[in-house]
Amino acid sequence: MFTDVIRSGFTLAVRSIRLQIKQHALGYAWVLITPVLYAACYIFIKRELSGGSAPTVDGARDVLRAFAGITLFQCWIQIVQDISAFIRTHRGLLRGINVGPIPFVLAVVFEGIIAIAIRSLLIIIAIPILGVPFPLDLVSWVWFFFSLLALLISATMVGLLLAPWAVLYSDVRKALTSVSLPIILISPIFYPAVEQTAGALYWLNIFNPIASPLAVISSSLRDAPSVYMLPMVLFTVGALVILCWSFKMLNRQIPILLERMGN
Amino acid sequence: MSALIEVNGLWKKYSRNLGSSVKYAAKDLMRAAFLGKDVNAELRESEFWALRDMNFSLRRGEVLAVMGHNGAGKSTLLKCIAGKLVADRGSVVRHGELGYLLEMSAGFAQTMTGRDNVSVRGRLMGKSGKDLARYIEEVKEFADIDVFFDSPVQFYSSGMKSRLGFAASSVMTPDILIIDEVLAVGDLAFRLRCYERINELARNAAVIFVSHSIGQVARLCNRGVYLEKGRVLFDGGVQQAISLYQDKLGDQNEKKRGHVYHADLVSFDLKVNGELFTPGKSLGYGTAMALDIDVSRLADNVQIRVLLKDASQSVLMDWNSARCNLEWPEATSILHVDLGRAELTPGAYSFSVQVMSPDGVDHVSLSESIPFRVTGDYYYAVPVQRTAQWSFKEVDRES
Repeated sequence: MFTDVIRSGFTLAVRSIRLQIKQHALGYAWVLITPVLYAACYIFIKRELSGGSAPTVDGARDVLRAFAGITLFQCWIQIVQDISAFIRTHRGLLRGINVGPIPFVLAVVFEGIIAIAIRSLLIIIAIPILGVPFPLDLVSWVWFFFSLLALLISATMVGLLLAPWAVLYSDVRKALTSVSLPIILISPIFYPAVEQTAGALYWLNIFNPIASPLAVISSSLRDAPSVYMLPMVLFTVGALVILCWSFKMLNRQIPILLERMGN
Repeated sequence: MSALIEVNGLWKKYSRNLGSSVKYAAKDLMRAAFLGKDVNAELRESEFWALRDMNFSLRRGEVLAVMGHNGAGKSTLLKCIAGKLVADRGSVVRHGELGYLLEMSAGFAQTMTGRDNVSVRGRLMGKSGKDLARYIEEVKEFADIDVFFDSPVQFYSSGMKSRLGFAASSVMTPDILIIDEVLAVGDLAFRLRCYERINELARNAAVIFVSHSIGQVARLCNRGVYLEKGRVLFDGGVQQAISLYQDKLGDQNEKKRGHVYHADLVSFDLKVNGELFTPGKSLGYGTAMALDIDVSRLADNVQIRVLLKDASQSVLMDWNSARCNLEWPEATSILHVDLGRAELTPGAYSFSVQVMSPDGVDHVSLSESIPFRVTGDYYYAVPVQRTAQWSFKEVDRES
């Protein structure tokens, strides 16, 4: 039963990836294009604002943080959007085939894992290109990958909480598009996260589902600890609990939602 | 043999209003999330019961026809049984693997080929390896769409999509099979293959079948329920269910004037056993029928057709004056037509008169119809049931 669900989710993920590749001339290259554009703009503006001075390691770290932040944010918001829209997107299959809703969520999660893996590879490739030293401590790498997992879990949780409401109200889709820029602005992407456990920014980062993981990624790439490590772990555990509850709720929610979507 | 499906006191409601529908859905979601209750079992403002207190069970080998007019609750019942809708009251208990032919083409990705779509569907049905390869070949063979099987679905005609959908959905061996008006796909040859496939599936399953097609129901089913406004009005033999369905269809048709064309040019009276028939009354099986047609406003030598239609307005019989070498007299006003006996199965019927030009090409007039009902013993859902001279012959066994 469990393996059937996993296999169904994997099948749907492969189907979705093949469709994306077929429908886009550049296919998965978009994973690279957008963050590189952001990073190029950021480097240009930063250099111009500093009077065209020679790049330093700290400056390169800023660029790496911005590049990693944007590329991971893009991935995170895509997972949220895909999961929140899965009922509407797959209503035909949900009605026409004797398969429950969980494989459809798992399909997005599998795609998310692939997308995050590609992006983490891009970040690792960007480290030597920007002239930043690799982290030497193994623990830093553990935190780096755990933060990626935390991002995936938080995106799945947020998407799944929004999914039923996205069926009933189109506002959800619009809201997700509208809040993208504000989330970028309040997240430690173009500026470093405050490393003190007080102040409004600290608490904002605690409750911002992507802020803590991005702050920890940024610090782990510098081989440094972060005050957001423990909050990120707690947030992830909480997200996992909510995720399990949401999965359980799906079987009750889907018939109600399919009925409201009409024929 | 124990029942494979048990429907116990099933109630289902819908909202007529989009705004309140969304509001109630939001409330139901919150109730499900925080109170652990699935639905609100009480009727709220703008809601109505689509299903009311349904009770029946079905065993292996039974093929149940669910009949009723639009809005009777047929599709809602199927969706509740399939688990696609949640009942507001009561329960559906299923024992065995469920298969359904509902919205069969749904979920096909337009840019993927038929083969790829079928492969995905097979995998979702739990198939892999040789099992999956066999499934794909079976679907390909049954759909019979040649090279299009390897073309993107977006280039298919609607008939091809339906064929692929039926083929992909019907390659299974369920214990319980649910079918919703899906057999009217493709050309006649494909439809016949569909019937054959359904018969194969039905042999070892409990089947629930929804269709407006009397022919399909009579061909496939051995039991019928008739629904009206969400209630089961009849549960029993399929022939009686069909009869009731046709009877109700007759009620609806009697209220309608029907399609007419220059109806003022021709009128007629129905004579039953030589007496003028009063609309609304019933005829017994075998009653002698005749028409007196007022042709005073018609040109000479036109073709006159008397049409006998069933409750679904299908023409069952046609008496055409052109077949009788009718000699039109100098002056006449009434044309008498002896139609023989009403050898019809009990149900609702109507007569109408159609006038064509002498060469049979141009349409001159179509009269209003006269509805009538035939009563008597019900044997089978075939409308025209002639009597014959039946006798036993002595056989000389020694020779």
